[in-house]
Amino acid sequence: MRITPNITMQNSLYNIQRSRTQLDSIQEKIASGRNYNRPSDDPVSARLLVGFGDRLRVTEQHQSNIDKANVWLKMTDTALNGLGDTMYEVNRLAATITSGTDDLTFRQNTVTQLTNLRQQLADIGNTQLEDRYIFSGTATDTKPYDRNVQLPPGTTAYYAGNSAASAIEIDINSIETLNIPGDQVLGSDTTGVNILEELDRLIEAINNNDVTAIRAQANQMELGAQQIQRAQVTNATRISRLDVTAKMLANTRNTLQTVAGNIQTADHAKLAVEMTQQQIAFEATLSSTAKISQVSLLDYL
Amino acid sequence: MGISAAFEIGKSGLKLFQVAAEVTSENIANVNTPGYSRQRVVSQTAPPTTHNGFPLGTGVRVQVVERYYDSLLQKQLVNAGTTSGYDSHKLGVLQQIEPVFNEIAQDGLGAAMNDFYSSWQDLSINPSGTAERQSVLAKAQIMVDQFHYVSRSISDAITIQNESLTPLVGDINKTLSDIAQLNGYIKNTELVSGNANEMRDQRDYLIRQLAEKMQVSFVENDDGTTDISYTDGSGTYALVTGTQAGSLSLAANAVALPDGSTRYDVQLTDASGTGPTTLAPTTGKLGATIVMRDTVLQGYLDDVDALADRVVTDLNALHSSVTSFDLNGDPGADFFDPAGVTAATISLDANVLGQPEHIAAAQAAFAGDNQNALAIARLNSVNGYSLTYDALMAQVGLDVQSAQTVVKQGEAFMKQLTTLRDSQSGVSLDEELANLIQYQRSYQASAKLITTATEMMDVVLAMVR
Repeated sequence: MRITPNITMQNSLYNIQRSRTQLDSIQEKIASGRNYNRPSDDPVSARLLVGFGDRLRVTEQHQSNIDKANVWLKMTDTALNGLGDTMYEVNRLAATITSGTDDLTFRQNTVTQLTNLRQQLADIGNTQLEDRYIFSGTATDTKPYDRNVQLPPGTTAYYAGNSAASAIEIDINSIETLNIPGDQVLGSDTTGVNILEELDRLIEAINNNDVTAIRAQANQMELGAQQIQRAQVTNATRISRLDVTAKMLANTRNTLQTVAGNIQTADHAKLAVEMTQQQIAFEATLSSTAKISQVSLLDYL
Repeated sequence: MGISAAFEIGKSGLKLFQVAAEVTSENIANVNTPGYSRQRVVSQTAPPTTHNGFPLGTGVRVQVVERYYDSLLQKQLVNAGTTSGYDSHKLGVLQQIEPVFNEIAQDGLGAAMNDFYSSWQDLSINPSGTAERQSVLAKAQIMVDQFHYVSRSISDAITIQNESLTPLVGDINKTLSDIAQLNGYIKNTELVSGNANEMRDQRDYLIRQLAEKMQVSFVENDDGTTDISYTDGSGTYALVTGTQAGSLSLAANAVALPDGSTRYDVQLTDASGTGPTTLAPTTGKLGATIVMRDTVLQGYLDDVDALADRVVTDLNALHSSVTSFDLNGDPGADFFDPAGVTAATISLDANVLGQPEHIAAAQAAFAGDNQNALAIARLNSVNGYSLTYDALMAQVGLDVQSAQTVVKQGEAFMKQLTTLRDSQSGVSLDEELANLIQYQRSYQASAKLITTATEMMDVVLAMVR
């Protein structure tokens, strides 16, 4: 084949251009620290990376959901513990008087204490997180036990909240209920042991020194204490499920970051070697181009 | 025939080597002229005469000045030019649009969608929280803005393609009339004498330029003119017939562009003045421009529009369902404006704009009910909007990558063909210099012949004296 100086020049330019492109690509990887800087660098990896990114965002959101839910559940736990302790006091007092007594002072004393404890139960039942009542079902803006005074039993609804529970997402396709409606804790007219009403009856029975009624009501208080214990267990189970899920999410997040990192993070040592090789090739191209283009028959005429 | 014949022969040599030196100088001068083919003098012995019983030559003469030229190579270059014109234009446009979808380097629509649905998760934890409600609206606005940005970027690219037709058509028309004009010059020149080498080179070069813009076929006529024709799905048309050139023009299409400006159709009035006829170009830069405008970019835009429509329809269905309630306990209404949704027009409904309490997080009229918020938050994982968008991103990446590969291959092929053409027709300075020395020596020899003949003549004349 006949080779003209223009062919040589075009070849040189073509090769210089190719070398430069490769150098530039390596340099971009080193400078950005990433193997892929645009989807066309490798569409398959790009799709994976963006998928991992989406999944990471979702995972982080679930972690944030769990963090926030934990505040609610811890608050609920504290309140339930308070209710449990109070019920223990109620039962202890009730036990001292199951046989009734003619000592009016003692009865009055007991009634005063029970009334205070009843107030305490209602107060704890009205616990708020920020401005939300934690024991009023989904009616979080309604005060669930809105009475400070003892009313005749059966005249008013004791519980103003509803029985609905709200759930949140803690992992993909995994839902956890957040609240325990008050009717499952202190009970309501229709659900479970209506603790406040039964307590009102106990107080009334003690006032009347009605031994049968006192025994019956004391028994109800035992059942009430069990009802609260069940709520405590339910809540504790939720907290531990969230802990487990949180650990799994942290694991998922780690894995996602590692896998994405393996694909995306540039290997500087490898790139540096490639860079050196490419640089040598590039310099050789430049040098040979410079030398060959200087030789001409003109020099010898 | 006497000594004077030696004068004549010497003179013919001088003349030939002078022409040869001129051709060499033309070659050297045009060493870098695009499309130039090197030329050479083809010499021929002058007709012999019979003298003293012997047939003897009468010197040398120029038979023809011809160019080194391979018509097959020209055809290949023309075809390769069409392919490379199409591919490189396509790549250029795709590379301009790729950054819009570059979710690897920066957060775009994909991230905005994820953030939007995450904000519903936050709302599901605290359905009565004002901050959470504000955040849903803010994230929705960011997502809407991202939709607008992507839509506008693609739509702008479509408009730019449309507008680029004007200079492109102007270029093609100029090339066509130049070719027709050269046809006339070549015909006239060659009627008088020899080959119009330079003009033929120019014409070949113009045809290659034209072929990069649209696929053409060409036929050389006996009178030296070249006819050029163009074929696409709508028919076959004569672009140049002899000295007559056709011309392209732009006409408004009834269907406007996404941004509302006029969509152009390419029309052709052929070399005989018939037309204008609407073309359907699919080759060369012209074809690439139309294909990018009407198919590829439009396809991306349609995908984004469909995504926007799904996002709006699915969310509104939940948000305005009969079992949805806002913070005031009123039934929920639309979240996004439901009218004619595209990525360009997606917007928040007046119902929720600036009124976060109208966000329907509940499926029962209680402040703490979060069921609707939870259902909406899960829409993305259920319906996979992010996946759809990621797939679109990967598609754009794949399109760019395959265009890059094709262009790279095309460049290598083009370089190979150019090398072949240069090998055949390109000027080599070393070769020309060697030739020049050769011609110079030959010229000197012819001159010496005349000097010698003069001396011989002197001898003859001295004898007579």
